[in-house]
Amino acid sequence: MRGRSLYLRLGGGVILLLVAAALLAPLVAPFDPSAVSLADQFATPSWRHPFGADESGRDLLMLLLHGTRVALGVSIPSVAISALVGIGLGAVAGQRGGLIDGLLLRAVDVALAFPGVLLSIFLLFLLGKPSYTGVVLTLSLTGWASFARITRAEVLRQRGMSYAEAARALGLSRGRILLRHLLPNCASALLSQTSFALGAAVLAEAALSFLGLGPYGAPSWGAALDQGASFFLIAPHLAIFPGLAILSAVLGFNFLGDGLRDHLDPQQGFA
Amino acid sequence: MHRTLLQRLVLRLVALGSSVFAVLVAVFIMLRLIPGDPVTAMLGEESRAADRAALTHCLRLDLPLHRQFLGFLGDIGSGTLGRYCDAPDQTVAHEILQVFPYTVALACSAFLLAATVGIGAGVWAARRAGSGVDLTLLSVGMIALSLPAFWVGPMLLLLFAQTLRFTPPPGDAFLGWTDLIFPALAIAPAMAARLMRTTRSSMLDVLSAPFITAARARGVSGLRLSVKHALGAALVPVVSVAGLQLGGLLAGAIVVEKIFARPGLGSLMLDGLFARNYPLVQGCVLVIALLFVLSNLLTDLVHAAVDPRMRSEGA
Repeated sequence: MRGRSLYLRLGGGVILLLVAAALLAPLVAPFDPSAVSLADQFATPSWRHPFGADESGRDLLMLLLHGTRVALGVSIPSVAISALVGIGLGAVAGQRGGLIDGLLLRAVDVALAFPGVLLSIFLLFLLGKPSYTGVVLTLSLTGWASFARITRAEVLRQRGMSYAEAARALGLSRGRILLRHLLPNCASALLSQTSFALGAAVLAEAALSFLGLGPYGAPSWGAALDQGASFFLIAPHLAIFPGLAILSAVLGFNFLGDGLRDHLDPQQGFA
Repeated sequence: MHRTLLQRLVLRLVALGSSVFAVLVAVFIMLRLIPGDPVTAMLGEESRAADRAALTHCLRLDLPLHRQFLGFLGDIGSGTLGRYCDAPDQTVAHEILQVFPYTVALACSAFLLAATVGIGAGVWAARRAGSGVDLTLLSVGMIALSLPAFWVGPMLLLLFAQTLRFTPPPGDAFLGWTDLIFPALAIAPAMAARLMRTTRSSMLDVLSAPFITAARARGVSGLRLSVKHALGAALVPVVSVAGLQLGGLLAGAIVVEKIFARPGLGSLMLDGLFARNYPLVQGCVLVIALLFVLSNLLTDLVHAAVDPRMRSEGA
């Protein structure tokens, strides 16, 4: 379907741009949080400041470029951890079944039903001071469950297929079947889930930073939006652009995930 | 195993009650593990030892943990959820009751908005599956799913209160319609999009079911077919998703409450955490957990209403 491959390209393009921005930010615009310039206070968008300037005269484009580093720097490691944990647990539960499976299903249900923001807030308080590691850890603790659920369902589905039966008939060990045969066939579902999870993590990091619980002192988009929201009636650009940055990143990951699913697994798609 | 309706209801209530208890124990322990001393948080670093001792005693922090927990259960039993040490006639329950209407009003209006739009759009998209309408709805849904609620809020105000001067900027009358509609509009898009996606795929499944083909053969078509025949069956998974979201709404509105400076359960709990106000946090968590359980029960009841199989089978 043409509309769908458009998703893939659009999402992929946005994400490539963001990655490039994150990598190039220090070269293009050195981050200097103390670069206060009273003359530029609340400057509206212009050639000098394409996105305007904030309440202490810092260039908003520079802040948002560095925000890309925070957004990706938090979401990539946290999704990596939740994927590792979730895929591991889900795969074992899906293959073994029985008591392990039942226990995991309960845990997944509880983790998915509990509102993520609330859990993150509690965990962040538990860890003490707001920090980069703290945010990464709490986001992984709330993110593993969807990986576990999808992996379990996929492993169950693959296990019933004739190629898996053939592998069992050949006398391959359980671990080998899981690692060499079942999991590689789950890859497409897990790849699109990874993209969705990255989008969700960017959104969650922004929400936590917005509440003042994000990585301490980092130029996060959520923190910029929090600052901007207090001045948005006198300087609307301070609220508009950080939000657009968050929206484009989340939308990019969601489009990419949807596009990947349809591209890699055409029969599954359209849900 | 066949049980009567009453037996099943009791079993369900016991299960739900025990999960509320488990949440209370978990939060009670977590709160005590959080670094930071509540007495210092309330009195400041340079307080007198006598004051500190008095407050510690009043907060029951001088008792062993299990006695503290029993005391908390006693506070629940008395309906106060705990009294404030500096203002003995003020109770936690009182404070929660003050913000409670705001939370319920916001949750219900956002939910109604999202359910109407989401289910309606889902049915529409399913009826035109594969068409331009379907693709547009799916794309709009994807955007709605990615919108940060704490950005939509200020944008709505900017557009309607500042630029178009449609409405006055929200003031203090939090239950007035403009003061309710903006926060609801900020929360609803993501919920509506999830409901739309669920409704759409569930409708597509149902529309290819034999009983729909049979209805078609009898000459039923159009809106009557999709709404009267298909939608009822298609709603089962939608109700599950909606139920989960209703629960999440009650606590998840924190960011929107902050944007609109609107009181609510979530914000109250966050304030309590920052102030290390243990009784307040425990009380808020209790109420949130109870609301969660309630929305869970409601989901089951609606399930039973839309799906006859749920009524006859054992729990």
